[in-house]
Amino acid sequence: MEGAAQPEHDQPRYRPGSVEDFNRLYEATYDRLFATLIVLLRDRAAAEDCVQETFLRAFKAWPRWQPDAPAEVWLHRIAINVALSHRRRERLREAGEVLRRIGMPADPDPTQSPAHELVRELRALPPKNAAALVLRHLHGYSNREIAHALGIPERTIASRLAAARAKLQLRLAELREIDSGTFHPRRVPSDK
Amino acid sequence: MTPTGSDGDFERWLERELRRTVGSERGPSPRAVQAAYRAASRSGKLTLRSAILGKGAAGFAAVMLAIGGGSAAAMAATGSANPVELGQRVADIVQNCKDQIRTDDHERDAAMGVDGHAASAARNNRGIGQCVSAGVHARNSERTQQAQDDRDGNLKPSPSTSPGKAQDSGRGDGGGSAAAPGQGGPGQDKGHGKPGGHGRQPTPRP
Repeated sequence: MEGAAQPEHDQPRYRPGSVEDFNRLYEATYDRLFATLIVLLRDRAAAEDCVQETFLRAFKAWPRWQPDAPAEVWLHRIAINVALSHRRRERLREAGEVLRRIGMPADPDPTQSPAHELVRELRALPPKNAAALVLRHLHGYSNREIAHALGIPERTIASRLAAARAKLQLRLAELREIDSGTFHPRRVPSDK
Repeated sequence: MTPTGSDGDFERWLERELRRTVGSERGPSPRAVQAAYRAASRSGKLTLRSAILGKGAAGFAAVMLAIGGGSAAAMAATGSANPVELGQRVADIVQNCKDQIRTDDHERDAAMGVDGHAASAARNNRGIGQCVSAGVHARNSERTQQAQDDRDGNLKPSPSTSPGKAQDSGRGDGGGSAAAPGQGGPGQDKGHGKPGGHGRQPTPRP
């Protein structure tokens, strides 16, 4: 698969604490982290902020990094946590904004770009499920790597992926039906 | 290809669409030289911030910002932007304020005939924020004044024509030495012949 994670034996070697290696790691993984965060967050600016925050945090922890998982997977773990925190803050801010603007028409958010329907629907999924789909189907991560990146047990990955795919497929199908005027609500399988 | 169909079809469709829509996204700063961590590590903020926040001393960080942000002149005057040194100065100011408050309280309690220990415990660090803030501002003003004095002194042809300036020049760090022992003293600033303190050596560390 194009853009898939490299097999572990092909992973570039990084020395914990080496600034030079961290610079290499940044350049090797920046675009992939950015792509993941584009799906989890609302816009490019937020994704860029979170990628930079991720590398800041990672740089602080770099001397203590242990190569028990590929460095990119470790970075993804940090990035997903940063994105989740960002989403929580964003929701709080939005709640305040809704209260402030009760009865007033909402202005369009100038930072929000129109997204592809797939990306919109991925954003509507629980963030860890959306992240699991991106890590598997965009970056080609194994179950073990996804488990490491998400901080959840490896045995739950397969079921989580299946549930996320089913929900996404259903939502996209409903969108098509809405577009074609034949929509009938269905029961959406719950996912944990 | 629609996203409906068998699981295998959907997975292939998903991979293709993700690569097409998200995989082609390029962020604005793909080079390491553009990264925030590089800028932070170059300026020393990364290490400084982690050291300060690691101790959970947010107030301390605020005071550091006050000193760092308001005292370009002070840095020029001391010739040192060493964050460790700045941190030491803030710690000294805080300690000085604690001592001062403790002494004031003790004297007031003695005059009023109340139980000093109980009253001190109740007050604890009350007013220390104001004291530290005042200390920081006083120190900044002092250094700004000192830098100005240095400049003025250099414009004059001979120190003998302005004895007051010569005294002021020596007073700069000396005035702060009660709060920051070891940061310099009277006479340390003498003999600097360049405007704004340029060319000074970093303040010697004890």
